Amino acid sequence: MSPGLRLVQTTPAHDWTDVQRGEPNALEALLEEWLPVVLQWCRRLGGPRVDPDQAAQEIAIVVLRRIHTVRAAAAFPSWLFAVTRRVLAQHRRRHWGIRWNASAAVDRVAADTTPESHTQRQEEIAAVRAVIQRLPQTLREVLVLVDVEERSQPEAAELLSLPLGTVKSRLRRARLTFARQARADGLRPATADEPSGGE
Amino acid sequence: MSDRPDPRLQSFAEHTPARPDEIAALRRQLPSPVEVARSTRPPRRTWMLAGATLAAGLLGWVVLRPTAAPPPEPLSAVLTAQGGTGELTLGAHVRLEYTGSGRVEGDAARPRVHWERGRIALTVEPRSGVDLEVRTPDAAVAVTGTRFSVERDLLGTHVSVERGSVSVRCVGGSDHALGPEQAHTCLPATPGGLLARARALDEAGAPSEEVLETLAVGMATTGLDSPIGVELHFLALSLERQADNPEAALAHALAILRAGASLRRDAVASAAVELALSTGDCDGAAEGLAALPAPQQDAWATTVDACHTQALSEP
Repeated sequence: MSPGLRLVQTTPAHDWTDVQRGEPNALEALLEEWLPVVLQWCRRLGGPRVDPDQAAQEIAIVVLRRIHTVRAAAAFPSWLFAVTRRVLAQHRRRHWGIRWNASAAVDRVAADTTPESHTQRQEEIAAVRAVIQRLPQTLREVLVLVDVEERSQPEAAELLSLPLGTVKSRLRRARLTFARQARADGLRPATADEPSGGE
Repeated sequence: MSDRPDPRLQSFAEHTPARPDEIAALRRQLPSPVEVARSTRPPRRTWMLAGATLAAGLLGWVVLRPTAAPPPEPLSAVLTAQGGTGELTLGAHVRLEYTGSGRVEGDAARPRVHWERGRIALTVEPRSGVDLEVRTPDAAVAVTGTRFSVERDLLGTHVSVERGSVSVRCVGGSDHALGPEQAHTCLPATPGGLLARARALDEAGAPSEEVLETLAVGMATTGLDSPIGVELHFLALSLERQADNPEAALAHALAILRAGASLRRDAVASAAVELALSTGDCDGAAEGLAALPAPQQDAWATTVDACHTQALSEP
């Protein structure tokens, strides 16, 4: 998990009035904090028809335009997630014709891997991505927030504006569905000590 | 397995990070926060100036308006342009650019555009006194001075405002006031239109929640005594099944069977048996079994009997 990508430390309360007033430094700091998070959400939740960079840009502009409507710093993460979800849905609708967006297939492989392991790893990542994208949206969101981004379940519940119990039951269903579909797609069985590779 | 994360997801996370160089590139493409904030929230002085200009304009109009305008010429024209863009000017203040088909009636001061299919962009000179209305089978859009477009396709009627403001009344009954850079889509008003929208969304890969939302509106407007009602439930059945919601899928299947619909009956009955068995609903399975044709009944009968036997043997 890359460091510095969690939302918990973002938008400290004492800055919020500055953010709402549109103070340049406060807005810059806000962008600095959450833009990486938003880009990752776009990549992991957007699906093959969404250009994550373009979607993240659009979300940034929506946030800058509408941030004054968010009354408190505590409400910001769930509001931001709702904006992301809405913009991603618009992008999916807008780009029906695109069957697969090449930029969505992110290729991040360490320089010291062999061509064979590189190819194998790429295929595995693409297969995992395909399984995630086929999950129903409600399950996909919980799985990405908790198991991919390593957020706590209460944190995911706050982001999704859902009761903790709902997040727990969705997570359980998401993990089962993911495992079943991964098996159906012929992915290698998961093992706890499987080498993670990459960076 | 469901108590802990799958290690393959960890590996996926490690290969999909937002790297600093990518974030920097994204930041370079964004406008500065100050520019965006300024363009959205003009200072109060600007509003005061705009208010004063508006008041002066109103006063000037009251003083200088013509006292007796000549009666306007009646309008009646068919608008059709396929594979290109048609253009039409109505009087001195309204300009239409369109791809698709519709017609225009009324007169230059009160044009009434009836738009059937495709996209039409309209420019109305502000404060020209023109009262323009665009109607589609799904929506009515009223406007006095602005630039906006109306697009009608399988998804409904999409109204998008570039400048000025328009009011949109969807045929379903909801009203919407749109300002610059705002848009609204009115859902199709008929069950057939809603089914077409749901299918288009599904084919486009829209989230199943969104497709099911459209289907729910359609199912509320028509019953299972019509073929479209059956098709709406059948698509909902398929989506709920794909989304791993067997109980919801079974409810749609049983609703179709109980309505006595003949359309897709075999497929629905077969789905009902499978779904009911997967959820342990032996009565639902028996109901699906009864609707199956004889050869398939024989194939499933033993399994459904076993379900009942097992249910009886459980405490």
